[in-house]
Amino acid sequence: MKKFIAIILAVLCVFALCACGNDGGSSDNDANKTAEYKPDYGELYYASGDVKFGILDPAADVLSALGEPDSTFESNSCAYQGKDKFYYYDGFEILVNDVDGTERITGITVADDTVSNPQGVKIGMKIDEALALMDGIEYAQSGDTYKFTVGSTLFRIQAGDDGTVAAAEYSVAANDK
Amino acid sequence: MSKKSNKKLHIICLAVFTVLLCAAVWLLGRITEPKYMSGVLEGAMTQEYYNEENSHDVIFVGDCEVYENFSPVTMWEEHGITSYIRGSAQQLIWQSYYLLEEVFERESPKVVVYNVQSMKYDAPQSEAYNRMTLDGMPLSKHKLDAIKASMTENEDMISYLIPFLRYHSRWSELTDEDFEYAFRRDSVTIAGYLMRADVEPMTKLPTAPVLDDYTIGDTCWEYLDKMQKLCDANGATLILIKSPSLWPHWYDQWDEQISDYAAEHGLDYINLLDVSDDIGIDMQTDTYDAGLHLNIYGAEKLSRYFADILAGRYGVPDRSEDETIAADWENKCNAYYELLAAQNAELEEYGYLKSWTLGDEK
Repeated sequence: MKKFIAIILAVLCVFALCACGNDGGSSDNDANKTAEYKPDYGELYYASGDVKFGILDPAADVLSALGEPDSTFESNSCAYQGKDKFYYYDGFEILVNDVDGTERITGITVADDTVSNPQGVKIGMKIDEALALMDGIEYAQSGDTYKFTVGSTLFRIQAGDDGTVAAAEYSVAANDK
Repeated sequence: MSKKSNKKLHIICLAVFTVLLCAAVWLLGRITEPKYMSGVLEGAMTQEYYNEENSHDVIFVGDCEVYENFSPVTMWEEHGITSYIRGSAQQLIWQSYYLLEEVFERESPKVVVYNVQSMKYDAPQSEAYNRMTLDGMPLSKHKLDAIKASMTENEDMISYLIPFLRYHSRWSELTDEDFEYAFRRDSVTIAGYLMRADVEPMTKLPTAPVLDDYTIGDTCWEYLDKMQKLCDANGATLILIKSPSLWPHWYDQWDEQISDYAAEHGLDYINLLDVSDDIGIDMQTDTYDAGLHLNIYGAEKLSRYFADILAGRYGVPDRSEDETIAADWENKCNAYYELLAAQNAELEEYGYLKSWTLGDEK
């Protein structure tokens, strides 16, 4: 009997302790996380003018440096808490999500052939030419898709039926399922 | 006191203590579980179905592309069609299937409409969305099966059965709403339709993301097979649709696979994206979030179009002469127009829907 009551009380204590635990991070911690952030994308970054940025970079600084976007779009996110926030700029799009309490860049899409990535890859060029430009970064091929991974970043090039680059985008490697 | 009577007293005390403990855990669960009565209303939708007093000839299952895009009231007004939308946020196909199992235990719809958008997901996705769909189901084999099929890696069955285990950490976030709605809920939908009367025109949609593989997963096909068998066994016609929402992107490769499946299995698949112009949908006026979901004006257009199909092609009967059913739908129509008036009043006063959103001013 005493053992049984002890077990029940223990269970209640666990409930109470769990309830007391705060699973939300403090803003100080979030600030520290941002301050301690070191990009791990190596050469797999994107650049627009003088602004260089990559996957998991804190979004606020990048968006501020890029200036006012042409337009924006929001939808509920499946991969993250909250919203998928898209920012459209000339020739490219940036996706921003809340990652552990900090707004971070989780996607960069080359939207048309008016821009290229820092290696020179652009929409519409021959896929062989694009792969040559990415020389030095290992890739894996899956069907018509070529995937380059460095740290947390996945850069994906997709070939169209005519053997040219149909799409090019940067995303979070961990989300590649 | 003898040892025997002492033991008896202990057993009684133990029983009373256990009952009180269970009652306390249940009560705390009721208080701490999210109520979804403001802001994110989608979590309150599943349980509303159980309050329905009359049966329905048409049941919709699927994600936001059904509960935001179809208006049962319009279908009633146009053709006397009785319908209900058993939709929920990011409802996955196995959840649709188990919700449908539940439906057939309670009523005998003639037509089941399934929106195929969710077949892009072949695995459990998010606890938050799981909870919004599953927490409102009463305990049953269907619920247990739905939980088993839906749990993500870090979830466990017991926390679905004893909500306090999952929600106890909300104690510090409790608001008046948690106490007010501990034992009751207001309706947030009209026959499963979640109304939005605001307008946010579509500007530009994001570039469709690149996928490595456009193949729809085996689990989805397995549940679609099961859904068809379930409908067949219950004498209902299953119709597959793709709602005319423009985002998330619906890939041609997916569309082809669904078309092929439908042809092979003798099902009708209606891609409503292809007939958006015929329906008259204008994404400058008929969407409240720039092309993801239709607002009431778009939903009414789509529902008029679809009601014609249901009545004409599938012979769904006009129930408007049935007094009991007509009275029920009169109440629903009244609630619908009252809600529309209330939303319009807020739009006029604040410029956005304050009471039906998280308060994000546009």
